[in-house]
Amino acid sequence: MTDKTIRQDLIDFLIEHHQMEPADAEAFVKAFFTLIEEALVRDRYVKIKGLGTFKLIEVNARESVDVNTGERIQIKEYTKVSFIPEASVRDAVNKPFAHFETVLLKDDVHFSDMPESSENEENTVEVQDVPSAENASNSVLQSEPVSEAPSRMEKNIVMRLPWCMISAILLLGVLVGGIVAWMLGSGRRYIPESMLHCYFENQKPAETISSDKPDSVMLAPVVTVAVRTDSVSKKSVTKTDEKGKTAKEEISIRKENLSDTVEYDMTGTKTTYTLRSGESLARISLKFYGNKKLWPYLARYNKQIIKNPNNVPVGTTIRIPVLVPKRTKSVERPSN
Amino acid sequence: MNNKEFISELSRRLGYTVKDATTVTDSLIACIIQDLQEGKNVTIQNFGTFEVKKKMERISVNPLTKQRFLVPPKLNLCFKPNLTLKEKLKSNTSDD
Repeated sequence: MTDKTIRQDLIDFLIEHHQMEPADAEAFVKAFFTLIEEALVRDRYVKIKGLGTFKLIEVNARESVDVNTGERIQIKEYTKVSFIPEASVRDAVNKPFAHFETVLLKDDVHFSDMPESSENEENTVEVQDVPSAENASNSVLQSEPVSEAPSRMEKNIVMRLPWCMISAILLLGVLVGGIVAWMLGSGRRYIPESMLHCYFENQKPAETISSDKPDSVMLAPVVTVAVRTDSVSKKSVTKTDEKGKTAKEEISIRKENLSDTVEYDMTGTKTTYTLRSGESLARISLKFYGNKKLWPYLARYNKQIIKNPNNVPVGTTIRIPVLVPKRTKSVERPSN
Repeated sequence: MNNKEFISELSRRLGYTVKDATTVTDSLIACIIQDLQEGKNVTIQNFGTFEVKKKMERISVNPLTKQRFLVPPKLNLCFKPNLTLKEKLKSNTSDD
């Protein structure tokens, strides 16, 4: 075995270094250890220079509990061999760790993985026993820690609360930010359909008052189309050029609400408009037609000017086309 | 029994001079310690084992001053008596 030295190794060592006869070396090593043994028996104490002291220590009889059965058992008095190495030997063995020193720790330094032990435990036990004997002092001592405990708890809660709050606020902020970014990033606008209806319905009466001919104005998507077709069907019998008029009326009204459910023809330029910062085609579409979904018409009408409809440079002057609903549909419907 | 008595007894038994016995004893002990330093266990039949044990670092508290000390790890030389030695000592001491 590499990590073990047995008696034979020692004998070999002596043979090598002292040119001793193997028999003599063996006899010497044997005598050395048997003499220690005999000396221990005789004097209960052997001191060997350069090695250390062997001592016999008597251990008094004591009571213990059998680990398996739980019964109380008596351990008889016995002697044990203690070996105390000499200082030089101790230092030689401890050479790898010799540079370490015992360090006085400051109060705020803590090691969670190491249990703290009192130097002499008997002393602390005595200290604990004294108050238990005096009941009066004991109660005083007990009451103090009790009053101390809640204040400590409060401190802990106060210390912990900001952490919880900060983390919660951070989490909330990240969530809200993410939702906003996603809403802006994806082109969708989450305005419910019912709200749009409300919006259009509110605008409808206002415009009917302002404009002379309500049937000519195209308002909310389905309802207005139905109204308009009704009016057209009535009038188509009597006046066929009424439709032409309605088309002209659209031009005169600057802001109108056009539905994106109907297809339109572009008939001439209504006006020109210069883009300002923060404006998009959809914005302009909303401004002129009251419907931002009609921006493709703007893009198509300004094909030569706008190269990328998603990114129109500021200051670009675009033409705003006049949008007229496709004739075929509006004519066909009344006939049906 | 101190060292002087031990050496003289040893020389008397083996028929060496005290000087020879001292030198051989010294070299024997040096050999043992050298092996121990290399991390080997020295086992002697019917006697016992010398071994080096590592003790981990620990925190000790002075109960009077409440000062806390970090005690560094160290290597300790231990002797563990063999069973036969134990038995011999037991029987011999009980005889006394």
